[in-house]
Amino acid sequence: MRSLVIVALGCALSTNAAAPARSGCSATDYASESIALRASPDAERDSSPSIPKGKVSSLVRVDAFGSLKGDWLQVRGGTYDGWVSAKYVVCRVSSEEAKGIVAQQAADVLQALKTADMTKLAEVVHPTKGLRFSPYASVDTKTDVVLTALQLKDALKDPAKRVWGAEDGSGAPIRLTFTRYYHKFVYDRDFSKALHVNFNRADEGTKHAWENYPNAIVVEYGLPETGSTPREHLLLSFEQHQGKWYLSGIIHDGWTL
Amino acid sequence: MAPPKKAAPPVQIKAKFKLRNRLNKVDNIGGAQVQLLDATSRVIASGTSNGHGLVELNLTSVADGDYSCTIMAPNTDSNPVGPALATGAPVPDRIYRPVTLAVKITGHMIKTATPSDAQTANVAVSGTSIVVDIQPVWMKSAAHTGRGGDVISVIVVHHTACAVGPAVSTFLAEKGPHYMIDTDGQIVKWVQESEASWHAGISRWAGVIGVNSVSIGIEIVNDIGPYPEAQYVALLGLLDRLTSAFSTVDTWNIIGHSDIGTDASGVLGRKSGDPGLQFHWDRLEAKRYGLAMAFGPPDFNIYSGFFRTVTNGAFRKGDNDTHHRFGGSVHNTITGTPIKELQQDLTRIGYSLGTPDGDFALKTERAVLAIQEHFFAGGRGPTPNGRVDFQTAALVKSVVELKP
Repeated sequence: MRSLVIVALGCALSTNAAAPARSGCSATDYASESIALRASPDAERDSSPSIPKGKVSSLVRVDAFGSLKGDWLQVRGGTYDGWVSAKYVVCRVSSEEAKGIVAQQAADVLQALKTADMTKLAEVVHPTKGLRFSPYASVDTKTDVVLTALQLKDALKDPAKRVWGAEDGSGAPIRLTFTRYYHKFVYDRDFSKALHVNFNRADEGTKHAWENYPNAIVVEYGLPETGSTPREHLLLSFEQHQGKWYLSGIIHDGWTL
Repeated sequence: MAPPKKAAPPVQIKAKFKLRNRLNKVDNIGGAQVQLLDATSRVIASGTSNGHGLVELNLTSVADGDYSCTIMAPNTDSNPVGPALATGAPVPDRIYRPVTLAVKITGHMIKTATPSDAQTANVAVSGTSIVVDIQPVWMKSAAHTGRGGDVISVIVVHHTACAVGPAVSTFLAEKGPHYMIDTDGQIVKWVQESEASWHAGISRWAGVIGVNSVSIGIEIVNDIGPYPEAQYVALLGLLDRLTSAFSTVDTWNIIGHSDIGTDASGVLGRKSGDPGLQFHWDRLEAKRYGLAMAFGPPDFNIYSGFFRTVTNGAFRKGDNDTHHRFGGSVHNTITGTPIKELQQDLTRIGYSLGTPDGDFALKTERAVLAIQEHFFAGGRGPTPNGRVDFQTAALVKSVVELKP
């Protein structure tokens, strides 16, 4: 039996358990003519019937189950009710719906980031996938550092240097302590003063985030270009897991060459 | 009887010049010689700017009329910016354009001051104050390392994706190219070619991993929208000078950042959009710079005849030679290894996608997106989609055909 590690405290950040997202689904390029449907994400055998590729657009997403081995989506539509591999089906949440689901949670996360409150932040970290830190918009799932909630709590006290990716321009390793990474690649400017906040809006700046978090809600905080300071975005990805939404990625979309 | 009053000292009327870097206004120009000359080139007044870029010329005894004013920073160069610039040692921090102003003086004050060449400076006259922002041609950057013995064989074209202000402050210290082309076509050099500038980041091209050490980087100031004609003229002129100076540059390897920017695993796409769909590569192709495509009748038999078998078919992610999955469906009648052939063609052109293995996965899709972006840019094709329909397949074949 799986159990959530989130502890509900009076002042804790919420892991939103609002109504499940019910946006439409589509088949990925990897999907064959029929897509296996399972009774649960950990079921070893496919149930029947499978879903014809052409029927995927009529499905709605009910829930998700995230793991490092792969993501699963609970979908429903017509006679179909079960779990499909996220390799074959994507169910994106509309912008309006996304805002309704995670607006408060995202605001809480931003406040925790602003005050560098890792304890609060740790409360909403995805329980099975952890929190991935991407120094640039080009998310690299192979090299970006992922911290668990437990690791995050004491990260600011950690003197160890990690390699967080490669520097834009020089290509040299970004070898920093968490604290220095945090102040350079997470909260280097005051994103609480963002001029725009977008929920699940697909554009040039978020396309790599979408590719790596296809079933997530991506919240984008944007600061404009001023004088000698380039524009910058901070992206937060929230992924659904067993009925709740958790923070799974922090993407620093700074200006790159 | 009251003592006679002392005569008041004569009032001096001075023109107060402030000399600054046109691209970095906090960059004051000290040590610059400023001379006011009459129609016979006789020096009427002169001075040298201090560390704040300030210099005063005494105009008290200067009659009304037209004059010229020359401003020579400690290091100037009037030649086209290119490999010959800033090659000495020690190289100065800044080199500027020499400036000549046409000056009109009335009532011992400069009323107008107009650069004889508008590209050398911007001038603002207000009362006795004359602010002259001088065009730099060399701004010494700290963002470089040695080439480690590697030979220059590649030129990478970027766009800044921002205005010139943020680009300049970043290029000075953190990262940047060898050259920058401003919106008006003016070129600034930042790093000597003997050094590798920090412009490409993690990157791969034609089997080279880490393109910085073998390349020259050129950033074109462009955020969104079309590139002005002046930038194409400047770029082509600079490419002429670079390819003349460095015979090791293979003109095929004049490519975009989007062609080479990868993640740590060599997957392209990290720099898609750079220099972007607004850039006209055909302007370079017309001068035989960069990738090119052959022209000829389309052959539907390419890639194992897939396009003859599957009308409007397109190779895509998930396709696989071993499983005979082509265009998203299984086609057992198609023999051969079209996906591997496509991968081999893209690799031969120069794109990074790992070892051709017949599996159309993310690496292949990103390489397809890169070549689509390169050749569809400038309004020549549809929006890149990472799928290989007949148009893209024929494009790949036509580019391979011209690969030296």
